[in-house]
Formats: sequence, structure tokens, C-alpha cells
Amino acid sequence: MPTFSKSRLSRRVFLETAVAAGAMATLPFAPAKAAAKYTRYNATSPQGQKMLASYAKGVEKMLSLQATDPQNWFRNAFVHFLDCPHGNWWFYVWHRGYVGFFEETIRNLSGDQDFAMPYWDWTALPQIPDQMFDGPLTPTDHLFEPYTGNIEKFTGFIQAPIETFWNGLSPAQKAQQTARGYTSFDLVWGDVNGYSAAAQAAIAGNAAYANTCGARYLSKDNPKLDKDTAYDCSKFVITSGLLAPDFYNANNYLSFNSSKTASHVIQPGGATKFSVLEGMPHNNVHNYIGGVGAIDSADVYFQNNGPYGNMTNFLSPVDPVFFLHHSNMDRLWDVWTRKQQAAGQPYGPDKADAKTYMDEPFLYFVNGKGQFVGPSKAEDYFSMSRFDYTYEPGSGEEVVTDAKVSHKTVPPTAAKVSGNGATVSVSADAVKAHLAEGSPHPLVASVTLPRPTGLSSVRTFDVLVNAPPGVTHVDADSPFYAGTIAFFGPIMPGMKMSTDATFAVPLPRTLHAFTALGATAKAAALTIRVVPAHGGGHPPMLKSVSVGTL
Amino acid sequence: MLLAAALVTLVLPQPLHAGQAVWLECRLGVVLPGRRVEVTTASGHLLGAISPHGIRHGQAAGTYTLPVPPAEIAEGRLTVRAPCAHVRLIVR
Repeated sequence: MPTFSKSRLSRRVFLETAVAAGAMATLPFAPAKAAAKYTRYNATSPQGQKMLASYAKGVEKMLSLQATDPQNWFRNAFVHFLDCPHGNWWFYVWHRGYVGFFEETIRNLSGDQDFAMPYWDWTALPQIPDQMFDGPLTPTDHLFEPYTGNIEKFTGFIQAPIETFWNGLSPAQKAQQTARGYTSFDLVWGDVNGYSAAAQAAIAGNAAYANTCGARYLSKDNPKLDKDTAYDCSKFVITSGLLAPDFYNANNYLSFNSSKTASHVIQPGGATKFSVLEGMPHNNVHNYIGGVGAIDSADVYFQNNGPYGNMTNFLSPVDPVFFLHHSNMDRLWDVWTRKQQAAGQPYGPDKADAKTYMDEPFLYFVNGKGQFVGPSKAEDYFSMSRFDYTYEPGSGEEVVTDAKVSHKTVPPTAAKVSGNGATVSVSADAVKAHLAEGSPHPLVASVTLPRPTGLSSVRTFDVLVNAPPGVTHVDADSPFYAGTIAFFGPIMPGMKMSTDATFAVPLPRTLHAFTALGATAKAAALTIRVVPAHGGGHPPMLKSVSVGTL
Repeated sequence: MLLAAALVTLVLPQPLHAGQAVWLECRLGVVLPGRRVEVTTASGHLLGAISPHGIRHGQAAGTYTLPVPPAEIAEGRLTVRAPCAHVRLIVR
């Protein structure tokens, strides 16, 4: 199991997270939530509605700023265009910094000193909140017309200031752009207007620019996500994503984050493994709002689809709903983190990866006063304390409660080991959690045994539970069969290898040991034996066995 | 628009026990702009809609995992319509 490296975190971050984790084990409410200065509310709540009114004031002010001003509305979107990570494990932490600084900007420009970015809980409300169709909160409003009325207006307004900014990039920023694929400003602008040098033509579907009337596919009369997108936002899907046990795992169904890459600026491609929450609700909400799946030709041979609205591409922050969407993604990261803390599990990169992850440089952020932040790194945004906010609870929160319950009551129990067998008594609480309907916490046997020596040909062993004496082989559908464990390959004398290995074997609920208990959960006496899988060879000498819940 | 695909029957790699989750892993090839990949069961129950975002033009769209409701599994099998380059079932 990976561990969260304390040495690679700043003292501030580590102390805060450690205190929060410890406190949450004994108190009904996390003190960090009560102590935060700002609260990000659900956009549909009365407080959220008030925040949206302030948000509208801030957006209007940002629209009115010169294109040379880093706080100009479109300039802010270009920070995302040039620097955003997708399909990699810096996705959450980069967007936390981006939304956090933007929140400070709106706070300052709106005059609402309590402002915090509300979130759109698309699981509870699979349609864009009503207020997001009013005035400056929709990119189709007439306030956007002077800038996005057509491509000539947009180019005339902002191309030169962006090119000036490009020419002033530091060597470190330039290196990141090269890694992103932008070796010249022409390539940058080609992705804005959809111009393909290879095709020597503009391709509508590739353009990040969207004109005012086509900037958002959904409207006040048509505000709902379609059934496909709503499914990707459903409670079943987000709960599945939140149950990921690891901050990062190469198997993406076990990983809260998407692929590990060399840099956050690397754009996703064929090797990318998307986490559930990024790959499903995040992507689909973006694209559907921009018209993907709705405005395209039904002719599969008609490839020049689009043009799309802003949310489909890297200028998506031009649509104000972007920040409500990403506030919700950030909220889900917070839910996942608190679930891990409540369960006593790691909630950051493992020790070997922590420095790489935390030191990743973010070079483009602009703070609430309109100043370039300068070089900062992922570690600066790992904790919500950087921006001093918390969330009003929303969908998915129950995974935190479930994690607290199971790990308070069911500690692992060590077994008495003799030869290839072990005996252990599992408490009634553990059996109850194991057999619970709805959100069970399976019992798992942790079995440690020596790697077979070069003289033994047996590499694969069956784990039997409460099998009758004398039984040395069962089929997989037997009520005494718990699983098969296997070593991969023989001992390599020249290679550094551990001589012992520990296997985690989830115990099936259908084992006779549990079904024989009857309707009422009682303590269970388990006799575990490890035998050669195919009947031949010598049984192993076990080193240790324990049984606990996930 | 959505991409179409033939039906394919997948077998669980191990028996499914109560409390375990099933995932369908889908690796996509190049998906043209505007295309969404809809993955359904044989009866049309939606398992997920993959809408690639942020993929550079011409690149394959990556790998996605879709949670599968256990009720969709019958006799250790799941028949899906998944227009993906590669699909497999995972039990955890």
C-alpha cells in the first residue's frame, strides 16, 4: 500500500492534513471546515444564488478590462489554453490553483469580500442552473459581442496582446510550451482559429474560438444534460469514482487520478488512462455544453463537424459555467481526500513519487490583484488552505461517512500459524461489516509465505477456509475456496528479491464459514489452509496470516 | 453523434462476489471531433458515454473505465455494444 511521504510535503501542509485526519477520527465535524474563511456553496442554494450575483458583477468587470490586462476575461482563459493539464495526475491540483486565483479576482473586482466560487452539483441537478443563462454569466450574452461577434473582432482584440505575452515568456515557460507542442506563436494561434497548416485550411471543429451566438449549446429553454451525460454524472458513477483506493495507480479503476506523465503540459493521447471522474463526468459535461453529440452531422463520412461552443476546448473558461463545473470537480477531490483520511488511508502520491508530483512547476497563474504569481509548484495547491475555503456538502458525501464507520469498528486480527494452516476468530462486528448489504467492507486475509526455492516447482497455491480435514484440493465454486495466489517466475539469484511475499485474499461472502452462521451475524472461527493449487508438490510453511476489512 | 458497434460478449475474469465491483475498460482509437462513444448493454442499458476532451487532433483518445452495475451481469457474462479498439472486464 502506498504511503504519503511526509518528508516531501511542506511542514504547513503536512501539519494541517495530519491534524485534520486525527481530529476527524474523534469529532463529528472536521475542524478544518469550520475554520475556513470562505465557503463554496451549491449554486442552487440561497447563498449560492447570492454568490452568482457577485460572480456576474466580477465577470462584467473583467470583460471591460483591456486585453493587455492579465485580469481581462479572455486573457484569463488563455492561462488555461496554454497551461492546463488533462488526462494526467496534475489535473486536480492545477485546476485548484487556477480556480482559487480566479476566485480572488472575482472577490476583488465584484466588491464582495465574502465571495467564494459556487459549485454546480450536476449529480443532483443535471441541468445548467437557471441563473447561468442571465447576462454576463452566459457567453452568448450581448456583452460578449464586441469581442466574440466574429473571428475578426476576436483576433483584432486579443491576438497582438497574446503574441506580446508569448514573446516575453521565460526560458522555463518556453520549454513547457515546446513540450506542449507549441514551438511558435503561429501554432498557438492555429489552435485558436482552427487553421491547420497540414490541410492549409481552417477546420471548424478544431477551433477554440467560438462566436457569441454559438458559444454555448444549452440555453434557458434547453438547459438539460442529455441522458448520456446525465448518466456519467449519476450517483452510481461518481460513487464508483470516489471509491478509488489510491491517489495514483497504474490501473485506472483503482486510481483517483489519471495517468502519470513527464509534465503537466503533456496533452492526453493514446497512452492516457483516464480516471473515472475525469474521463466520464468531467469530459462529458464540458463537451455536451459545447454541442458535441448534439450539433454534429449524422453522416459518418462528414468529418468537418463543428463549430463548437467554448466548453469543448482549452478556451473553455470563456464560458462562466466552467468555474462552477471545476468547483464541483475540486469538491469531489475534497470528498475523496476526506474519505481517505477518515479511513486512515493515504491521500497523496506515494513516497517514491511525492517529489516529482509536488515539485511540478506551474508558471502562468495570475493572482487576485492582477499580478503574475511567478514560479509556483503543485505542492502550493495540494491543500485547500492556500485559498482558505471549504464546501457546503453535496453529492458523494456519504462515502466519507461510510469510511468512518467501517474503520472505527473492525481492526485486523492476527491468526495463530502452524505449518500451512492458520486459525483466527473474526469478531461479530467484522462479520457484520463483511456481510452488510449496500456498502459492505469485505474481509481480506493477508497471507505471508516464502517465495518457492529453485528446488520447488510449485508457484501457485489455493487458499482454503474451513475445508474439512484431509481435503487438499477444491474447485473454484467450492464453498471452501477463497482464492488462488501465485508467484510470478522463479527466484533470480542475481537480482535483489524479497524471499517472502504477502498476498491479500478477499474472502467470498459465499464461504461456508459465513453462510453457516445463519441470519444473525456472529463471530466466525476461520481455519485457513494454503495448499498447492493443482494437488501436487509440498504445501508452504506460512510466515503470518491476519484477517481484516478493506 | 454517436459511434455504432457490433455486440460483443465478455466473460468475467473471476467469479463475482457480493460487495465486489465490475468495471469495463475501454481503449479508444482516434475519435473524430464531435464523436461520442456510447457503451451500452445488449438490451440498450447505458453503461457510459465517452466524450474525449482535450485530445490533440489525430491522436487516439485514451483508455476509460466505466463502472458496471452488478445487475447487468448474467451467468458471469456481459454483452455490450462498445465501439472501442479494446474492451475487457475487471472485477474488484
